[in-house]
Amino acid sequence: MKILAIDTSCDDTSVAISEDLRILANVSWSKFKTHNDFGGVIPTEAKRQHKEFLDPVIAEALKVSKLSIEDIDAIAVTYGPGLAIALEAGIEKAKELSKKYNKKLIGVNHMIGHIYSSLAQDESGKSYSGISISDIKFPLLALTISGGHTDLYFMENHMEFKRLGGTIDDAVGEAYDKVGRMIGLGFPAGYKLETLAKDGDLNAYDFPRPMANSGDLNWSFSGLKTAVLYQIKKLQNVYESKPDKKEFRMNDASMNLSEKEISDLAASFQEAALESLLMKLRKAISQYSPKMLVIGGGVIANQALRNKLEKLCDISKTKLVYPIPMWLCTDNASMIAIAANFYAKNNLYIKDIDSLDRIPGLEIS
Amino acid sequence: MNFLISDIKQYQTIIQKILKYDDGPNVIALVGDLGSGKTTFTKEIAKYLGVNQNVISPTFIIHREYLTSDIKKTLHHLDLYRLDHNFELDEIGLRNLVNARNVIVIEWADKFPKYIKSLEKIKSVQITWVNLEYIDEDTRRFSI
Repeated sequence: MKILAIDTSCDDTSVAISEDLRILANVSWSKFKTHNDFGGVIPTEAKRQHKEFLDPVIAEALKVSKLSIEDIDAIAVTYGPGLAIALEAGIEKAKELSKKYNKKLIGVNHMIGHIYSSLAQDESGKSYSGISISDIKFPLLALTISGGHTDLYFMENHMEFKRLGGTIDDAVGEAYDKVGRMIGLGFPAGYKLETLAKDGDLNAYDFPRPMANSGDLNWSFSGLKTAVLYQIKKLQNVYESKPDKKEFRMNDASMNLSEKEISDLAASFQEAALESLLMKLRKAISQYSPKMLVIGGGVIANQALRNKLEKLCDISKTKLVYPIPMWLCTDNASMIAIAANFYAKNNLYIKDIDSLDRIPGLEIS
Repeated sequence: MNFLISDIKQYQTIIQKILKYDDGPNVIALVGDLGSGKTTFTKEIAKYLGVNQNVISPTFIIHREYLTSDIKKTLHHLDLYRLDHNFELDEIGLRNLVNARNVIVIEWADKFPKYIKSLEKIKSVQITWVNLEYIDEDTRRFSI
């Protein structure tokens, strides 16, 4: 089955063309990615970019795949979660193509895309992440970790998700970004923070592992972020808030910190954040005895996390699956195309094309 | 009004005061740095309104909404951190949320003082500015 998939959930305009699980083309436009002073993407800028570049990106993807739109069997599009106005642009285009060329339409949950991202294959049918569909064994645990999500699911079948837990406040990637901003790393901070952490002492500061004893499978990262802030203030010897709020943004908080302090903060924070993740995964594995642990989302690009997960899965004899190439970890339309195959197998097509609407806070259910 | 808060229970007293007038929409404009307790405060507002769901960070998608125990009242939680222009507030539909007896909690409201002031024209609206300040690990200063 040939699928043209569109993802405009955030700042990348991404289009992929697949045949079954083989990715024939994956074209993303993010050159105009515009970040403001406060870190983060300017939503309206993202929308403008999507509108302007969707057509050329689709044309390029078709060209790379050596297919024409007539060859495509179905159009797939992310309808959530994500930025409302960014999602809108992709959905509008998908509906237009679906009507104009009389193609079936599939609305894909972006997070289900992340969960299925490891199954993407190159043109010749070789898996990018060393995992083929016959390797998938149920029951499994699926963890999504990104700037907006930290959620854990139990799966006994394809496309059947039982949510076991998730963050009760900030996502783990969000904690990386916010702490990164506190220590002056700019946005996005994940990769920079990880690099800095390599030079730091992970036991330099004793940061909490929030929810360690909560008894459930939920996480919390907001308290950890605040603990880093307290530590920064202690280091700076600043116990009072600055009187002029305008002058005092968190990206200034790193002032007067030495390089060693910054890398120690990064290392200690990362250790606490990752150990928090691991603690609950350990618990979930012993509770559910899954055959596999499947990870999806941008945070799995983090090497320190990969190492910890490898160890955990080695000990618990659980097969670990995650997308290996960086572009499969971060937002991309290929994973939307891969997931769309499973939607199609379950006959989950959009019956009334006009009824497909964006759901910014979409959850997996 | 100024409060020093060192016990999470004290939030409920403040929230009761803020949300006393509920003939129309209530806008709570939060001002405070990372770690000053904006999320914690919003969670307490949700608790006060009888929200069943967990209030999680709206930073990623900018706006999240929650049903309360009162069918005429929806809690909207917005984070303006990633926005820069007034027209973006129009695009996310902020003005349309300020109706009925909704409670609209806006983090980083100080980025758009004029825009939020302009919401005063909406009928029966109640706008409360809340400053959250970090004093020490256990204490926050609330100025309303």
